Amino acid sequence: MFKELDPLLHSQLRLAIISLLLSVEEADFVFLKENTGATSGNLSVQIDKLNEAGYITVEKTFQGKMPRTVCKITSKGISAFETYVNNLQTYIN
Amino acid sequence: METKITELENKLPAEKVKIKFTEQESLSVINEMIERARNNVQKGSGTFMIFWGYMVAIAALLNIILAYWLASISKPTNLSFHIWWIMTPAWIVSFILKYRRGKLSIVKTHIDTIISAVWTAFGFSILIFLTIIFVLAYSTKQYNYFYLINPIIMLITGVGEFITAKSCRFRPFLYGAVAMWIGSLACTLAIILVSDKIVMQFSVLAICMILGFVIPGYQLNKKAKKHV
Repeated sequence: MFKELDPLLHSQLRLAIISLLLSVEEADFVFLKENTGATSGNLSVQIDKLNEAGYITVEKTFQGKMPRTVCKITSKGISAFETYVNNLQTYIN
Repeated sequence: METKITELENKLPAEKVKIKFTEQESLSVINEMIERARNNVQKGSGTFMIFWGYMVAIAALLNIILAYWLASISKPTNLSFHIWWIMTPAWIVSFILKYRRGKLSIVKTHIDTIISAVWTAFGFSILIFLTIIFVLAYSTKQYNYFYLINPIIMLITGVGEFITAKSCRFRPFLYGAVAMWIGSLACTLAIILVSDKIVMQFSVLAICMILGFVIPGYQLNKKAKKHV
């Protein structure tokens, strides 16, 4: 039977964020914004959601006077992504 | 407004969301994002290579000039080797640059970690190698061992550059690595074939640093600018 796709990941922007973070060790908000092409507002909402779910960690610091947000994928996020891709494969097959 | 829409979208059951975002689209998002992260070249990545390329090339040329000058005033030319102490402040500057860049960079990839580890290992290996050569030369009073320094440092540099080239898939580094290896062989040949070994070895070193570090460094920076 078809398994339900994780609704948290089955959204274009959140999936893009997770895929980017999976490929790097850590990434700044600016990097995610440049590569997903999303607006700051939308991106920060989606980052918060992923953070609340424990899929990513978010570290907020200051670079001089500029705030800086660094995101990193967690092991929970990695396994959620793996499950998502596996379920996706059953859909496609 | 936008936030409200996405919130609404997330409240929809999975099936309804699926209609808006198909499995195929989902796969293409994953592929595209992984590809973007992989091909990411940050601004100023080549600056370290340019810096070290010029530093070593200048030191090598100064070494040659000093050797000629010392010979002209009939002083031992070996004193010219002291020019290499300028590498100590160069290391400090390099560390500061690296620290600052680390703070400013907007992403840290797994490849960045590998490349940084390779060059850190390179630095330690060079220090240990120089210790070996100095201990050997002074304990046996065989100063010919010093002729090994240039070819072997260039050999290890070639290894570091080769790994860098392969891990970040940047071809100019590969040519740089080959330039280093050819230079290493040329320095070895100089030991047997040329009478003025210092001049020959340091000329080869200067040329190889420009070909193998400065030029690929500029090419990398150019690539980084295009990406942004």
